[in-house]
Amino acid sequence: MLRYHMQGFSGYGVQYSPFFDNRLAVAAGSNFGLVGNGKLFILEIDRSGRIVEVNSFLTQDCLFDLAWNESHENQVLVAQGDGTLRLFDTTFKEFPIAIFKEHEREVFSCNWNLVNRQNFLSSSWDGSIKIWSPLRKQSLMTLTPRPLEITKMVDPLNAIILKKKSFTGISKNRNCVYQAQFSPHDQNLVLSCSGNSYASLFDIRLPSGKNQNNFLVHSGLEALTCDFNKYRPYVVATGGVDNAIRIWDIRMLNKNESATIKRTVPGQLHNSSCINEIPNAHGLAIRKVTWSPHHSNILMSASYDMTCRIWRDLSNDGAKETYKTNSTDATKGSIFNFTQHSEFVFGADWSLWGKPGYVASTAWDGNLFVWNGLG
Amino acid sequence: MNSNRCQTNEVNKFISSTEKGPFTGRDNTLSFNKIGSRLNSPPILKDKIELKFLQHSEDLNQSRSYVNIRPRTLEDQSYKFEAPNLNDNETSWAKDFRYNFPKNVEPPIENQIANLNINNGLRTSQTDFPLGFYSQKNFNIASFPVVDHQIFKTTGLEHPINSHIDSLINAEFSELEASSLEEDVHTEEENSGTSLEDEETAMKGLASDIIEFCDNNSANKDVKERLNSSKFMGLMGSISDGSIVLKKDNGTERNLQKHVGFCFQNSGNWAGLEFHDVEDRIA
Repeated sequence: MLRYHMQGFSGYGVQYSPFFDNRLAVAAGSNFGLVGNGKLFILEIDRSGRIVEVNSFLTQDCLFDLAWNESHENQVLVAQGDGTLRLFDTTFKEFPIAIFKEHEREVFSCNWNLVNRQNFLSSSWDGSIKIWSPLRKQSLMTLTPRPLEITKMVDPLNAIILKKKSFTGISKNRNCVYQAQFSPHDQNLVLSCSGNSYASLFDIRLPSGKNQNNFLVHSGLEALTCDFNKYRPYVVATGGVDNAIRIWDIRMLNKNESATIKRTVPGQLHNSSCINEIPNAHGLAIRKVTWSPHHSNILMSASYDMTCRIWRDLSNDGAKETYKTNSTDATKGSIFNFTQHSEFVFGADWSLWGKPGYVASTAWDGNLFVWNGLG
Repeated sequence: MNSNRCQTNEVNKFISSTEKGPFTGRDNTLSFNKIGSRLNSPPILKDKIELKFLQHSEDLNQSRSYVNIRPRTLEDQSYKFEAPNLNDNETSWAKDFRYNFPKNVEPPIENQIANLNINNGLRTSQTDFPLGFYSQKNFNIASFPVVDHQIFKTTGLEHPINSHIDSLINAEFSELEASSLEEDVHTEEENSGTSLEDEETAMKGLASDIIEFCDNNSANKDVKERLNSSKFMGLMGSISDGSIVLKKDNGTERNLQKHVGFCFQNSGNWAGLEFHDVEDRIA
């Protein structure tokens, strides 16, 4: 296990470089991201196994997420609390090379398109998802998940990212889009999850009004994270405030879940597209889920309970469907539980390099750990 | 018959003399016009003249002697009618006429005739002949003063009024702008203060809620132990009890007042990482 401490800053997001096997970027905020500066750390693992800082960029506001430019080895995109996205060049000092400002509230996530490598997206508390090109300041497209149901937040811990907002205002974050991701298989497919407990699937080729499918994912509680499986194009995972991880087959999205058709079957208790569930995967809300780039049936989760866990999706044996669920397993499919963090764990990423199983995680304790969850 | 002939001649003479006097220097055409105009005079005036003459004729008939007066001719342009020198010894119609005149309260016939005819003639001539002139003149006069008046209005009235109005408007706008700016500043100050205070209150409430949630949460023992040892939870506790508060930016720009970190309530020292202002620009 390797460790690096960011003095005075809390980690919010971490990602391995897609070009260098020993380089990572970490998005962080001071004072637990509640108020104050943010900072982007560019770290490298040297030959002796030490993690060293090669560059850093101080920002005016907290950084909530980051994404490497998939077509430029030195550029990193960050999502900032003031509603902007900033593109930094790791060979530069101090200032970004581009600023993208259209969101009206904090930007909670950003993701670079892995297929065309020419676009990136952002999701914000203002309830919108924007698709951008690094070559122009204006967004290319704005997607808005249509709020189908107003829910009230139950877990106040999620309010910690609602900087300087009243608790009574937490119930207003139902439209907050906590995360959005491009599909690694289809450059036109976008998945997002929102505070209203819905995940939204967008086909950006379709006209507005017909381009999204919404499905309830976390029993009315906030959906905080989502990710596409890297090998099964139609499988996605979500995590939320109900402490559960759910796995969905988007091929089987019920038409009743469509935004244009309201649910009319009162007896239907579960969405037909949910193929697996890990109930109570953590002791508190799930903040991050991410599928392994090396295995089709392994995923990782990070939580407010200060742990990271590696799970095996028991509904698939790596070759075919097994029709089992993790809820029926004694261990619920848990492979590894990382407990070294002492604060809420917000960021986690698999390493593309080296032995499969290496991951990096970061938390509000200011620590970045590099560890192996698959032995 | 002779008397009738003489009466006619006298009338003509008087008319001629009256006509010649005030219009000396006019050409014959004008004279003829006047004569024609005279001939066309209203019957009332004509009868009145005859009555006067007849009255004097009666007086003349009553006189004991008759003095013959040299008749005037049209050619004699320089002739002027003058009463003969009267003596106490002489008696004549003239004397009788002269004596009778003071008794008559009416104006002298010549003056009366002159007044009647000349005035009428003057009015007639002025009305008829210079009609175009007067019209033109009136038009010119009317136009010129109007132009002058307009110019005067433009220069003397409109401009001063506009200047005055402009100055008043400018003054009013200045006052409104000043008061508006003051109000804006005041409102901004109030809003800024209110917003910052609201944020502090909200943060304190949030911290309390988080503490309460963690205490009441049914998480397992391991999670509770982790939460109890969490620095974040410690910070929430300090915020909840008021020992740590949000730190305001002490920048000079009022509009940019905001919270930049946490500080201890008592000492005001930074409780966390100190804030550094970062310039918002591109490399």
